[in-house]
Amino acid sequence: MPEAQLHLLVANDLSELSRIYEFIDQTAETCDLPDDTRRSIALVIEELFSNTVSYGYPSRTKDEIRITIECARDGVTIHLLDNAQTFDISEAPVLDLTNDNIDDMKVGGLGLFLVHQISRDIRHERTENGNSITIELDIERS
Amino acid sequence: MADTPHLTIEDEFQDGFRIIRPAGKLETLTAKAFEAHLREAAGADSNSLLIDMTGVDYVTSFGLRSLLIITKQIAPGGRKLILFGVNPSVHEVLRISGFLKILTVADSREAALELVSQDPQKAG
Repeated sequence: MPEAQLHLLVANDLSELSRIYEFIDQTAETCDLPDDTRRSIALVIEELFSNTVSYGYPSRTKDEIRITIECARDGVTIHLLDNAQTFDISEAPVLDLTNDNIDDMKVGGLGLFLVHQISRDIRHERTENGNSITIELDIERS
Repeated sequence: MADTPHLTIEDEFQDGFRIIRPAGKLETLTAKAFEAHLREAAGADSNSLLIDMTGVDYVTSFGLRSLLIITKQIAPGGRKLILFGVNPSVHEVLRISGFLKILTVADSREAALELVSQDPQKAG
């Protein structure tokens, strides 16, 4: 598998998801990734990006989020760098689907739960202005 | 029919039952339109809702949340969401999220129709 590192800079706006999908498809092609891995990358990045955009900017400040995908022989590393409100995602949220009050189950909670389920490792570092998140995924070869 | 950039939704009818057919990605940008479509169908019909997932290749937490909201909305009437044609990668997301415990996933269209025909309230 080709080793590569690809970057994308996006605005903190959900409309950027189309560009993010294109970027992931392009990365999967460059790195010759299996379909399941491509979908896992998309899920991780979308959940984290949507979470940051939805909850990380209470004052609706404009920001640019830098997304990096690094393909190596034994796995894929995803890196997200933002200037959003600090939020440590390295702890897995507890999910209670039987809770009758759906509003109590925030979208972010379910998304982070999924990210934790499919990732090999999740690291969060607080930067001077925001968050640096590193996710490692296994490559699922059939 | 509701369309967004990454999802189209069509309805078809078989044996008097509506079958909702989303195609594309069930994600952040499309989940609300999908949820609105399901809510409208839940209001128009009195039976469980059938969803043909054959055309859905990607589901995120926003899509799952829409499925959960409608499931809980129709549950008091003894109705369910019945999914069929779920592809393996979507099935895996349903499994790891715990949603297989709260949604009904049928093995085939026929099995889904059989389940809906056993509803306490059948389609008129």
